[in-house]
Amino acid sequence: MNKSAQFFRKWSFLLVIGALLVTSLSGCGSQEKVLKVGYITEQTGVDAYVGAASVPAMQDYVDEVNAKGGVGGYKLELVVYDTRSEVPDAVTVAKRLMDQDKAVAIIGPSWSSAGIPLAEIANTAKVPMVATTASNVNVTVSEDGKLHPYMFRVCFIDPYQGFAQADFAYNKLGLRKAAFLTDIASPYTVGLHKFFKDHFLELGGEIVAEEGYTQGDAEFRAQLAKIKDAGAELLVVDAYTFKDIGLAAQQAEALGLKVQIMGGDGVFVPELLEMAGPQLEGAIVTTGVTTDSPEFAEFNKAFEAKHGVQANIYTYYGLDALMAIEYAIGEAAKKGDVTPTAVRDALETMKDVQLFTSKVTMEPETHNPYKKPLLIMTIKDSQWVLTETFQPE
Amino acid sequence: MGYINTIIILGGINIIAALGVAILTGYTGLFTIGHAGFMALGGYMSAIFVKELGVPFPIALLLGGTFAGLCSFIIGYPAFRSELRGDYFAVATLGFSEATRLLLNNTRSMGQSIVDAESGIGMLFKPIGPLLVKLGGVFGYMNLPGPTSVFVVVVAVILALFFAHMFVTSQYGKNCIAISQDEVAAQMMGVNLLKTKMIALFVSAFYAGVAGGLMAFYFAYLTPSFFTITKSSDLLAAVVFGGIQSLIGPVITGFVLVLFPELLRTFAEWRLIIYGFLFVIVMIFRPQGLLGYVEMNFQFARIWWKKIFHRRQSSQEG
Repeated sequence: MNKSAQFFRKWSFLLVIGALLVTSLSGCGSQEKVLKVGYITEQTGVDAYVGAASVPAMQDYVDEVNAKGGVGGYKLELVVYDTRSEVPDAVTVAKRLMDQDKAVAIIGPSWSSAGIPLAEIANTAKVPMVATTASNVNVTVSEDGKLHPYMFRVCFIDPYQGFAQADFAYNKLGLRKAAFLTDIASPYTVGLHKFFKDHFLELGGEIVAEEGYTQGDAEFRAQLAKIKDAGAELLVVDAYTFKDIGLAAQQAEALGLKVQIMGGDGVFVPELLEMAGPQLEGAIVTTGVTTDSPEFAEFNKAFEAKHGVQANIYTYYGLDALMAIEYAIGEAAKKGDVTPTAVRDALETMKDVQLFTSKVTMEPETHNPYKKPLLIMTIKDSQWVLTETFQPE
Repeated sequence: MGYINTIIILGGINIIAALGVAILTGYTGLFTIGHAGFMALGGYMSAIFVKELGVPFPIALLLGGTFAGLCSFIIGYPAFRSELRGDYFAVATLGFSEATRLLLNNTRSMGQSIVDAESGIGMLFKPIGPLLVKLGGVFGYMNLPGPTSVFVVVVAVILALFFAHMFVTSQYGKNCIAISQDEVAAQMMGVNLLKTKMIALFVSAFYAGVAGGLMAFYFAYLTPSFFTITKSSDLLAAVVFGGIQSLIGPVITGFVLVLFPELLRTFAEWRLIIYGFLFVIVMIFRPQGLLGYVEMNFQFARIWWKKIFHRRQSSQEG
C-alpha cells in the first residue's frame, strides 16, 4: 500500500466524522417536538367512503391545531393507514403505528370485528386507541367482564341503541307488532336485533316475523311478503349499509306493504335520501350525531366546497376521536409526561370535555362515552328531520 | 419489531395455506376457490380443542388440521365419484366454503335454540348446545389464547415445506402429477383416480386447517368474516402467480402477497390498483406463473458448499 492512499484514507475518515457531526448538530437546531396520532381507516374497498369523508377533515383539524402552536408545546402529525376492511390488515397497521411510527395514540377502527382483536394488541403494546364507530360491547370490555384498559370509543354501544329504539317504538309510537329484516352476517345488525327484541318483549310487544339476509343481497321480496302476511306494524332494518334499507323500502312499496320502517345509525348517510327518499317517507332512523343540525351547517358547506365530499357521520366521529386525543395529550403535557400511558390516563378521566359533536364524559369502568344522547330522525320530504333527543335514564 | 413480526407471521400462515392449495391445484390440477372454508373448520376446531378441552397447542393444531381434512371428504367423495373437474369442482368447493361460513355465522342462535329446546330434534344435540353458543356466531369466538409467535410460525413453515416436498416427490405425488397431466392416461397406467384425488384433497385441507389454527391463535379471536371468498381467491392467486407444479413458487408469492400491499402503503388509495396491475402484467408475460415448473432443490447449495470446501482445501495445500 503506498503512502498517498494511506493519507487519503485517514483524511476521508475524518471528513466523514466531521460531516456526521455537522448534520447531527444542525438536526438538533431545527428539531420540533412532534407527536404522531395514528388513524386506521378504509381508503380502498367497499367502505372507502369512510376514509374519503373523514381523512381530509381530520388533516385540516391537525393543520389548524399546529398553526395555533400545537398542543402543550407539541405539534401533531396524523398518520393514516388503509385496511381495505380486512381484519388482518387492521392488525398489521396497528402494529406498524405502535412499533415503527411510535404513535402516541391511535384512532379507529370503525368496525367491531377489528376492534375486538385490536383491543388486546393495544393492551400489550400499551398504546391507547379510540374507536370511532365500533359499537359492540366486547370492544372495550371483554366477554368475561374485564375492561380493556387501552381501548376507548366515542360512539354509543349496540345494547343502548337497541334498547332506545324499542322504547321509542313501543312507548312513543305505540306500535305492538314488530318484524325484523336482519343481515345475519353483520355483528352490528344481529346485535341491534337482539337488544331491540329483548326490550320490546319485556315491554309487552310482540315479534311477528324475523327474516334474514346476507350482505350484498338485493332481493328482499320473499322476506317482505312473509312480513306482510304476518301483519307487522313496524319493520326494523338496522342494516350496516344504507343500500339494504333503501332496497327494502323500494320493494316494500312495490308489494304494497304499509309499515313504519326503522333503522339504526349505520344507514344515516345522505346517500340514503337520494336513493329511496320518497319510499322512506316517515321512516325513523336513530343516530348518535346528526349532520343536519344548524350548528354544523357552516362546517358542512366549507368542507364540501374544499374537498368535494359530503361530510357524513364518520367525519364527525373521526373528529370526535381526534379531539378527545388532543385533549388527552394536552392534559398529559400539563403533567410533563406525554407517553402513551399518560395519554391513556387522561382519556380515562375525561369529564365534560367539549368535542366536535357534544360534551363527552368517559365512563372509567366501561370506556364508553357516558349518557351520549340518541337522536331520533324522521324522513320528511326526503329530508332528515330531528324529532326527538332521547336521553337514557 | 412487532410490525415486522406481524408480517412474518401473517406471511407464514399464508405460505402454509398456499402450500395446501399448491398440492391440490399446482400438482393435482384441481382448481379450488374454497380453501377459506377448510381454514375456518381447522381454525375453529383447534380453538375448541385448546380452549374448551385444554389440549396442548401443537396437538390441537394437528387435530384441527385433521378435522379439516376429514371434512374435505364431505365434498371430495361425491365430487370425485361423479368426476367433477375443472371449473365444476372449483364451484363445488366454493359452495362448500360459503356453506361453512354461513353455518358458523349462525352458531350462536342455533346453539341458543338447542339449549332452549325441550323436545324434538334439538334434544339430540343437547350436549353441544352451550359450545355452539360460545362460538358466538357473527360476534366471533373471543378470548382465545394467543401462543402463535414468529418462532412457531417459522417452525411450522419449515415442517410444512418439508412434508409437502416429501409428498410431491413420493409415489402419491407422482400419481397426482400424472392425473394433472392426463387423467385417462393415468388411469390406464393403473392410478386409482378417486383414491389419489381424495388423498391430495385431504393433505391440502389439512394444510389449510393448520393455517387456520395458527391464525386463530395469533388474533386470539375468530369470526366467520375472516374466511370469505376473498381469502380463498388470494390463496389460489398465490399458487397461480407463483407457478404450477412448484412448491417454492407458491412459498415465495404466498409471502410476497402479504408483504407487497405493506410495501405499497405510501401510495394509500392507489396501492390495490398497483397490486392488481402487477398481477395482470405477470399473467400476460408469464402465464405459467413466476416459477412455473421450477422445482425446489438444494443443488445450488451443494455447488456452493463444494466451491467453498474445495477452495479451502486448495488454499491449505498451497
